[in-house]
Amino acid sequence: MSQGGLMRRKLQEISRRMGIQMIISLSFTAVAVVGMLFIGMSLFLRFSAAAGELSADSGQRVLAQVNLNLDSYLRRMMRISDTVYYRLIKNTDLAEGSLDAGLDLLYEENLDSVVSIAVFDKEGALVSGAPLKTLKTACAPETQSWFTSARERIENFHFSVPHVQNLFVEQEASYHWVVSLSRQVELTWDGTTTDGVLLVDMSFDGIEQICKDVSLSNGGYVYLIDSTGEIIYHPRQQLIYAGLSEENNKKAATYGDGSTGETFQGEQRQITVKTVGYTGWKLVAVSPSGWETSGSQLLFFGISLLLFSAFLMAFVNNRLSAHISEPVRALDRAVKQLEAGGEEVSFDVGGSFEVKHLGHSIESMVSTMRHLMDDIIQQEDAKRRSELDVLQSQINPHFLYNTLDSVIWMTENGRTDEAVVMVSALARFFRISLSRGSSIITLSDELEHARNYLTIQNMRYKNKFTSTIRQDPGTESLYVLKLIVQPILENAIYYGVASSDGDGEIEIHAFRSGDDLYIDVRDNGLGMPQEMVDQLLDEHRPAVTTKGSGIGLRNVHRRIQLTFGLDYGLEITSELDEGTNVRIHLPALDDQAAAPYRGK
Amino acid sequence: MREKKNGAGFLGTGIFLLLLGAMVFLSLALPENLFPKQEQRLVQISVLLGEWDGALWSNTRSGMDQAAEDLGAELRYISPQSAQESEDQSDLMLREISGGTDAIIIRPADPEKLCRVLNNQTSYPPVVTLDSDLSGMELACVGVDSEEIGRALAQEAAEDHPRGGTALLIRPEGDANAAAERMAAAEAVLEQKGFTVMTCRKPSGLDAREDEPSLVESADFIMVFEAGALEQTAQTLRTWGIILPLYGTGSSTTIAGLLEQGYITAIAAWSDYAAGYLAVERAVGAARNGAVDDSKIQFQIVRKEDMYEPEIQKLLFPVSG
Repeated sequence: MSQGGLMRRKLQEISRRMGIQMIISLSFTAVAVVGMLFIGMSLFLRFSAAAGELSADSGQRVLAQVNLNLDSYLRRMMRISDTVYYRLIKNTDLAEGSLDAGLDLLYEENLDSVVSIAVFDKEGALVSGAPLKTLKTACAPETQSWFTSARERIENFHFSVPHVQNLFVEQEASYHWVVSLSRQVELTWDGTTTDGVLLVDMSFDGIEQICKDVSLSNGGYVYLIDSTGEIIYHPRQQLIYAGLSEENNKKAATYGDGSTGETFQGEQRQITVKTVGYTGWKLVAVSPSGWETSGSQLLFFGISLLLFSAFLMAFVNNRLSAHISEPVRALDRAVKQLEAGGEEVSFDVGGSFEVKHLGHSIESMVSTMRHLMDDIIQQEDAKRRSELDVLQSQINPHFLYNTLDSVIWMTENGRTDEAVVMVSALARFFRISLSRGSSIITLSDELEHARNYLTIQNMRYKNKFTSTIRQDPGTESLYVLKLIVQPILENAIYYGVASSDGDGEIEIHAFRSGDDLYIDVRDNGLGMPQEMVDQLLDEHRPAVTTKGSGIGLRNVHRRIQLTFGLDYGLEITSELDEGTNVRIHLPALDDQAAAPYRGK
Repeated sequence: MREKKNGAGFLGTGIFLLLLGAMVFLSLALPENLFPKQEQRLVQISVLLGEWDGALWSNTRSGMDQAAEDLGAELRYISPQSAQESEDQSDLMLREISGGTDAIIIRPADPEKLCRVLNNQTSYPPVVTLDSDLSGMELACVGVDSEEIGRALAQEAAEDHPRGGTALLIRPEGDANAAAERMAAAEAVLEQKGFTVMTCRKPSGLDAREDEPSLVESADFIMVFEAGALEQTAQTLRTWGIILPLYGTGSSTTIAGLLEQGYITAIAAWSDYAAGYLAVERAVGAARNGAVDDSKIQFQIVRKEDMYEPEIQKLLFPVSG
């Protein structure tokens, strides 16, 4: 079997062993936890997306503001450049006049953001400059990038990347980081125009001031790059220059305007880009991605909330399932008590309407069953009594008819003494038979009853047999079912001694063995084959009423077993031409033990 | 019995739920600053650089200030007041140790003496040295490889001059510090290349007020191994009006100017900004984690003609500061 199958089987086995409370509790909790996780994840993703959008929006707004300031600054620089070109250069013939005064004035006006203003001819020679007017001997302006750019694309402004100005001789060693704004201009010499280059070196500090104090939430920052990704401004610019920090600036140069996510040095970042007009520069806002910034507190909160919700759900579900299942379990316990034979079992277990209804139904069913059982017992008892009565009544008419017939016969033949003896014996016989309605009589009475019967029968059969009755001492007061010996004697007479040729002998012997009482009725008649002995007590043999059917024996046997159980009854042993012995096996009942059987 | 057991379980579950609820409340209610990160603890660092004027160390200080801002440190810059720098430096260091500073950054004037002073202390905070390491002591050192820089500079000078020339090496204070190691390495290279080496103990470099131009008459070139001494020597040569090839280590705006004007032929330069940043970084790391870690900085030989190369500009002229 596969692993999955084994697992499924194991789960099924566990679920079979689980109680209703556990099933309800586990199911509800599992569903609730899955639901919470689902909702939590949805909220997390939604919140994450919203945080990202917010961050991007914030970045864009900040960039828009920075861009506005930067644009304003650059426009101002371009206005200076335009002023120099259109107000000074265009209006000055350099053969007659100088640009120095105008440049000095403009420089003084923009001292805070301009390092120098200079005009060069097409060979790179300085035409005019402010505030300094002497070039370093080795500076070679015509080789510098701002100059070549202006000469190559004459119609545009050109903005350089930050660099250290390498132009003018200063008294004190001084090196300025500048961003150069250069353009091609037309210089007039003695009425003739010639090419030149106008340079406005902006102080790097000006750009730095615009970008420096911009801060984004969660430690975000803004940096500025040119179109090739070269850094113009970065809050950690010197660290990057010193190789102690890195920035993803080359990659950022490939991004279009808008927001995007990136992973740099293992950190998820939100990047927002905005291109600065005229220059091709790009402002880049960097924010750490949403959830990382919330740190351990958010993680702690999330785990705590999840655990709290899960345990609260488990607790509530446990209580709820207990509320539902406890009445059912109480009902189960009540049914088990009932199965164990409990009499006073209550099915009032409370709980919901359905469970209450079920309890009442079971209680009602139990009550009905009890009544039915009582009825069945009563009916069984009545049936048995009726049966006993029937069995007992089968004896009397037959015997009475024969005896009375003999008395009539004796009287008609003048044998009145014998008739008197027979009638007297018959009277005693019936007195014991009646026994005030009791079905239990003493062994002495039963044997007396047998003796009277033998007396009658002996007279009828003209002393064809002799009989002896022996009773062991101590058995006199024991109780037996009445009229159990007489049918056996009847059989012994009819089928035993009456048919035989010799003198018949019937012997009755009553004795006790332990808790049992035995009454042996033995005759020396013809005997029976074993097959017939086996059939005599067979319940399944058809009941026939013809003479010789042995129905009297079976009646006695059934009466004893109906009264005392299957351990008791008759045992028949017989041998052909030797005789038959019928043993009556009864419990040895004294007066106290016989009490329950009286009156039945 | 069963009811008692149920009651105990109910109580236990209730307490557990209360604890979880308290956790949720705490995580919502407590601001994050109640759980300060370890690295946010402010580290007090004493910085003992030397008696040179502030301009010489401005780049180093810029780097240190940046690192202090990034890493959460407070710097105390302390300079020896007397001419006896090494004595003064040891006293200042002991004063800072007894004052309970978290870490010390020091540019040892006399490393051997500093070793002895520290060894006499039963305990002392983490010490990070600039340029010179203290042999036999497990202290972090931030700087260039002194021997390598001495060799490279001597090699540069040797290539500029014919074999058999005479080199004047300005000997610094002490024999065991970084400058002395650089000089020893340069001396070895020059002698190997067949130059005559003269030395002159001028810890602050040649001084026009004290020295005579005749001191350098017989030299074909001069080598200086400390930035301050290099500045002063170049200015002295300018004062004397002597154009003599001068090689040195270290950089500053003044040195760059002198290099551009031709009073200095070549320098071995490195990023003082990076050195300052790394020194504070190591000091903060050592104060917080007890770990010591050396950091070697790369240097570059810079001549006048390439000082405006973009990478050299970034090295010589820090953007901020």
